[in-house]
Amino acid sequence: MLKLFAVATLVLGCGYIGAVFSMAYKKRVQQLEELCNALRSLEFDIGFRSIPLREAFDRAGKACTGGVRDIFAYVSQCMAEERCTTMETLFRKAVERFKTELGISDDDIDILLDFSKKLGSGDSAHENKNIQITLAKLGVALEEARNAYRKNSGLCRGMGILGGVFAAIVLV
Amino acid sequence: MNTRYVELLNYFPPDLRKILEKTFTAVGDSLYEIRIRCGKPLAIGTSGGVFCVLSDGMPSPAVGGAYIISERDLKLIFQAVCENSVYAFMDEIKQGFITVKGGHRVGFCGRTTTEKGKIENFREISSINIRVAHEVLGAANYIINEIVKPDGIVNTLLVSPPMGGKTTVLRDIARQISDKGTKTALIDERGELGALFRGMPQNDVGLQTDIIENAPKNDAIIMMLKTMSPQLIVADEIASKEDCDAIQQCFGTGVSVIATTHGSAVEDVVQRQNIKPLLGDAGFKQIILLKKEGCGINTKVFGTVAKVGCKC
Repeated sequence: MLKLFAVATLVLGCGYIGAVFSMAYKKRVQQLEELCNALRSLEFDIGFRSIPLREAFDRAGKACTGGVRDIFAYVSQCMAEERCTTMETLFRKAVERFKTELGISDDDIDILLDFSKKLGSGDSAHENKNIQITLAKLGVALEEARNAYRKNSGLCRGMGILGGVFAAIVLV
Repeated sequence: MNTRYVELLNYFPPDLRKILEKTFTAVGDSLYEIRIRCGKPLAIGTSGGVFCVLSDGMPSPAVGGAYIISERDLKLIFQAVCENSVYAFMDEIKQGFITVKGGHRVGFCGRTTTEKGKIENFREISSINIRVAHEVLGAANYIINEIVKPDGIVNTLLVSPPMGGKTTVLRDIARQISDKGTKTALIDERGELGALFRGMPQNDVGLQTDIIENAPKNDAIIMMLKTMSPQLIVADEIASKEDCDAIQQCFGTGVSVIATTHGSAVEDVVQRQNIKPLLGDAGFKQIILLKKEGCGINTKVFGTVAKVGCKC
């Protein structure tokens, strides 16, 4: 009975670890999709409504969840508190603060920081171009993330369970 | 420190903010502008003259030891004034200034980009001038009885040379009349009277005052007449034929008008081609020449009233 319990624990435990690894791939895809949606929201608010970035970030953040929402909400809040700073500084602070909640890779974060360097310094056409370039880069990253998810998520789950089974055979 | 200056500090980078905190405390209420030029000493204009700001925050007539403005300082201030959203302030930037919270006016200079001969944007900013808002409640106490009579408001033209206190007095006249229940339309072409910030006037212009800002005076006056049914129209610095034609229309509708124009003598003003048709019983019934003793916001403003008859 005890052996059966140990086997079950090992298989479930390793299976869980595999699922966690698998979720990381899914989280990246979800957050990249949310980032793209947030940028589209910004594009509308900048191009058509001409509202200042602080409000635009607030609105974009509300349409997202988790780490992406936190980043936009935090940048918006910081802009209200500290007017004389660069957008890049604010984004760096936000990314640093919410790094644990982010599922996106360092390369994805670099895309976001590149975006923030030129943000808010030009007219609508300039901002629109910056958003389009960032969306294109994020699109490539999203495609890559989806491929990685398709390829690796099942593998991670399977490896987790198989690892558990193997450990159970060896140890029990 | 003057509470109006506190809001202003938010537009400066942290190191510059610390310096200016000391400067503002040192100069008290006499500050009227801050000059920020790339690669040049930070300077302030006060009622006592122009001073450089030293690295310890103290104002000094000498340049030595002054805080030198860097390109980064200038860029950060510009971005802060634009709320890091230049695109949202393009109309204001094309005009060369932005009104910020507190009613202060921030003017820009630098290399522009033009399209069809008109300024489209600033490619580089080389200097920034912050004109500190001065609201003097009661500035019109000296002359208000000449304008508000028991039988109504007398159409009045206020005259003074530049920096003579016209706008300050006009704003207070609008406030005092509006607070007594007169529907007042404020034609604020340069955002100096009400200084709207997100729809909220940063200066007290009265309870019954509607403001139209950044619009050409002639269009704004006609729009106000059509839409807001004002009893009084208040306009700053009328000069062009279009402005005067629009004012003429007000007289035709029975709406009272109080306006200002540049000038140093009543005799000069009454001879102006555009102003002349506005004077008389059907138009401006009086011209008040504003003079001032000294300069700065604590200036005592007084008026000499020159009645203008139909012959003018």
